[in-house]
Amino acid sequence: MTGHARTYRALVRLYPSGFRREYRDDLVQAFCDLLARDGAARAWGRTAVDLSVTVPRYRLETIMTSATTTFALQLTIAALTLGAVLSYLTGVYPGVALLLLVLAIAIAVSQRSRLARAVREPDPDRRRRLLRLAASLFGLCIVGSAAMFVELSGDEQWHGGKLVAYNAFFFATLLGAVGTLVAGLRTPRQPMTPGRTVAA
Amino acid sequence: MESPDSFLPLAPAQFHVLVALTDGDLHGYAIMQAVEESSGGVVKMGPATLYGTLKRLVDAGLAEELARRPARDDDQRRRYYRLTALGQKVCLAEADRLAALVRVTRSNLRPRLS
Repeated sequence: MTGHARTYRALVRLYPSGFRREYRDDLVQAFCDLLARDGAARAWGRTAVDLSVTVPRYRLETIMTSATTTFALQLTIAALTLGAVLSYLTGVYPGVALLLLVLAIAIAVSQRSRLARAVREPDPDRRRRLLRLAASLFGLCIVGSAAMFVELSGDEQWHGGKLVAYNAFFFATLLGAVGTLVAGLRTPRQPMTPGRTVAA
Repeated sequence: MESPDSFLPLAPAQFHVLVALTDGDLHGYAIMQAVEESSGGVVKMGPATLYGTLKRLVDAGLAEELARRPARDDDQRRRYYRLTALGQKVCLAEADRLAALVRVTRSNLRPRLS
């Protein structure tokens, strides 16, 4: 394998893992064919444009799968509904509760076909997505807790029992974050849908 | 089977690959060459554009990968692709759609420009 091919093979790592696994050898083979026909300069010219267009596109497509979008929709509806209930129960801005509820209903109605499909065909990666979300929330908690800890540790009012309680909360959050990440890593990944093959 | 019209309009890259496959079973690089040739050198696909397009076509059931290589080629590393029956219908439907556009364009603009 030439230096050019090795370089391109390394650049193929920029693509999402599923695409890379399925087509790495074909991509390198096609690049080598281009190299043999057009020479290094023209082959790299075409391939550079190809990389700059397809890497962000395929990465974005991987992130914004239909299942991810549906999951985000479900979360948004749940968050709006929860916000509405909390606003109503606490008596804080009842108007806001109504507004949040109307928004939740509007989203659910406008996206009803997508949501109905999600009920019929459950997302196999749901657990992984929930774990990622929980990990992100824990991460935010840690950053927020650390910032507050630094801020409050110099405050005389926060010495003694309060500081101990606060430390306990901080380490519990940290433990939760690590636990969630470990659980997420242990969740098996869904295999990529294989291509259709037929006998020649 | 889904209606061919439900796939229209096709993305240009997908149509170019389908047209290349109307000539027979081809491997990736041969498809790249065929696309370049059929477009008069205007469309030059890169490797990832080609295989991303092929993946879409295979997932949609418009093209399929051959499990065995054609006898004329001794390179067993290459994967060959061919049109499915649905792919042929979709390709023809897209060609008809574009032909109708060409007819309208010609009938509207030719009298003015000639």
